Amino acid sequence: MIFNISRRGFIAGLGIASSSLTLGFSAHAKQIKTLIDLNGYVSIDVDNNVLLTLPKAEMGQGVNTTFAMFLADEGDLDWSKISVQSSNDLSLTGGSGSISGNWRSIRRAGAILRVQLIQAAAEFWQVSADEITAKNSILSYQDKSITYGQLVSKATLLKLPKRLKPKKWDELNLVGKPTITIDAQQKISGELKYTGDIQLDGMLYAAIYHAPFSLEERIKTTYKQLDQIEGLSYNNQISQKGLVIINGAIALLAEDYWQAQKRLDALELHFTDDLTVIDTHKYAKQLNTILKDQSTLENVSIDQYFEIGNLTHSSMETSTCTVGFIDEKWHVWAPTQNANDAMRFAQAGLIVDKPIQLHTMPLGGAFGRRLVNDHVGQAISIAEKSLKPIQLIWSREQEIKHDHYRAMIHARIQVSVDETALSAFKNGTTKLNKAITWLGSVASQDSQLIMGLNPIYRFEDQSIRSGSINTPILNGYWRSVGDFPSAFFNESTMDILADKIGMDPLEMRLALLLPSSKEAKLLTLVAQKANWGKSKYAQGIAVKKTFGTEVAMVVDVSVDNNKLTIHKVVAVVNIGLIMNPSGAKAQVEGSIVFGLTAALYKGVDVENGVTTNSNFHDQKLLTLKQCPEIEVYFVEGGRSPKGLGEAPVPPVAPALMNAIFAATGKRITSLGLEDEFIF
Amino acid sequence: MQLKINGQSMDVSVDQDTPLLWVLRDHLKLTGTKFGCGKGLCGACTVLVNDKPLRSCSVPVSVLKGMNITTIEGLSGSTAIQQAFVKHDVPQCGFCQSGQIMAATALLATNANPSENDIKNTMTNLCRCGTYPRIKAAIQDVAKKELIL
Ligand code: FES
Ligand code: FES
Repeated sequence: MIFNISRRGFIAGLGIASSSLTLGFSAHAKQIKTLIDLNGYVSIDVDNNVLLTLPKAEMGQGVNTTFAMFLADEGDLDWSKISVQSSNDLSLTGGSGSISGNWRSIRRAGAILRVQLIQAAAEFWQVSADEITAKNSILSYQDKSITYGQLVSKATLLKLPKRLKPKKWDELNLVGKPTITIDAQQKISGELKYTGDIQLDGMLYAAIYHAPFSLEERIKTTYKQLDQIEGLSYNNQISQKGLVIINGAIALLAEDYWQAQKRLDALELHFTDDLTVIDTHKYAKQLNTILKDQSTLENVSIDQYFEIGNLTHSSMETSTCTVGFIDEKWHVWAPTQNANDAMRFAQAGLIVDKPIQLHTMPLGGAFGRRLVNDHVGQAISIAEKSLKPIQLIWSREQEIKHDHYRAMIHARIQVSVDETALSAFKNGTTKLNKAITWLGSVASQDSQLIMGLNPIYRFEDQSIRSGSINTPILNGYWRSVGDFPSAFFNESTMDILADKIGMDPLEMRLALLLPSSKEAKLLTLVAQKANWGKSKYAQGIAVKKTFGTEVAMVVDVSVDNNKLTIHKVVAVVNIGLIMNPSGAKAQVEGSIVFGLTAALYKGVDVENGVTTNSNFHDQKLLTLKQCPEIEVYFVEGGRSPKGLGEAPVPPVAPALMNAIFAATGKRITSLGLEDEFIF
Repeated sequence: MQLKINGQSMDVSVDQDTPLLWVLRDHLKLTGTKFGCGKGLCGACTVLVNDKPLRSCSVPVSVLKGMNITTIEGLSGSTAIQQAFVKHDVPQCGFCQSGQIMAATALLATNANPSENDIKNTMTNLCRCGTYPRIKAAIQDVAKKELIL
């Protein structure tokens, strides 16, 4: 494979200063971009330090490490001297596309760097480039050697190579081998700086309190409330007590966050509007009514309702943003998955138009939450009104109450199978005759919710319909998006059907899948790895393809009275090309833990326009003690890597519920098991 | 008010009821200790006080006068458990990790060879990224080493 540089749109901008060699690359390999548009670059300085600036956000999914591995391999760089940051105009990071969409650009950057430096060395020693070897940021010719850094200023003067030959896959040293997260040391020593760790001189800390969800414009509610407090209005700058009104919320500033939160809590804000219609219990009834009103199939054998509530993102870092006005510019430090959106919020937050410099920071988790950047708009508004550098910190309570939840969604699935079809199926035909899915949702982004619902199994006739109701509750993207509910609905239904027709759940799935399908292969493999049918515990199985990555899973449980123990989860993942086995496995483990939390704990309740849940005691996360043993197997195949940060989430809930059914005969159709079991 | 943090004596003037966490972060700029919930529920803010783990968001600083406070900054960065966390590639987003390290340090200080159950019952800090299997493995790794010594 030869990279043709210009046609592939790879633009290299040579460093302006001769103390470093800088190459830029575009996030979209096929697009020709100007240097100004570049949103990623790599630069190497005279001391051999390499800084890789990525157009993607690092939120724990390991992109920084994987990209650095490619760069180091292709560029023959000293691994210990590479550091990675995210670009201040990083592009949207979600949909598990970071690695799959960018790895070629990074490889090219590494290759150019190497070729450029080898060329510089060739000129330096007056020999042919072929005679020079590069390793660990050192160039050698016979017994002579020189570091990359020493040649940086020479290399910047060279023309870019016209054609590039990247290394062969088996010439790569790091890629494909387990590699420790590049900033692991900083993370375990508390050195990594997150947004809240940026401390500006004279900075004040802001706590925030949001108006309830409201059908009316949210700002109005806030106004009314504040008139009662101290005659503040939106245009007032800041009150004696440090209060600031911003769009839809009130902030209070103090010399530390504790003081700010304490004084804000002491105000005991109550909103008097009648918001009784904003109530998740009422919405649940409405959704079920929509579903009930749909027609029933003839000869229906299964007619099942399912429910999922509003799920939180609950990243450990709450919404935080640090803002200061420095040298005629607003500087904004924020965790974000989308710099464009953060800038949009920042601009909208200002009354007086001024230049804004965004500093994208490492994220303390995100899971889709930081695709929305409300914290950025709020922080800049507060700073503008208070004329002070500020740091906005949402309390955990506000984080839970004003999340953009994974929208509550209910489904009704009907399956009709007649006797003739059934006996034919049992005698070896591979199709069953009819299935229909009804779907109701509260989300406005309806399309994301039915995403991935297309059943993979061969039924003669299947259709999907959806309806929605509008609510003022904020909804957003959540790790694995629409594949999460669809896996729960479909894969639970498959087990209900298997039970109904008296077949083993695995056997029935395999009979309904094309034997050549990835799903069939993964199911067979996961069954083997998990000792399907031979475990001493009750087992459940599920399979799902999410963002192009198929995952099959078996969960082992036991139930003693109402004590549920999840012993083990075995996952088989079709990963494509494996880049970093350690990071990949970590993503699968993390996704399983995330999926278990969603399966075990109900979503939030909203009453009177306010979420009643408030902190980790009533919006729980899985703990280490509850965490089962997790076994992960990768199936490789294909020529490019696949996204992994989300795909293992969807099969968890159905596999768990199927296991609970196997253990107890009890079919769980509504996520959240707190009422039925202790665990 | 005088506090003894990481072996150093430090002066702060804050309200008596200010939780240690905010004294550390906002006044002393020791930002390695993180805020996750403010209610003693997540452990992101864990520090050691006289070698015992303490959730610093929930303890007023005034009761800690004269006691030995150790924060993540007070560890060398290469203690046995820190090395094991790196070796097992534990951190994902990293936000809970200082707290996890402090909790694990406290556990190993009192129990050099914790059983799986000891680990399960002591390591109650939350991690949304789900690094639990690796936290467990890292602690077990250190425990094994100490046995050999
Ligand atoms: S911040 Fe202290 S326990 Fe969560
Ligand atoms: S590593 Fe992200 S919360 Fe634990």
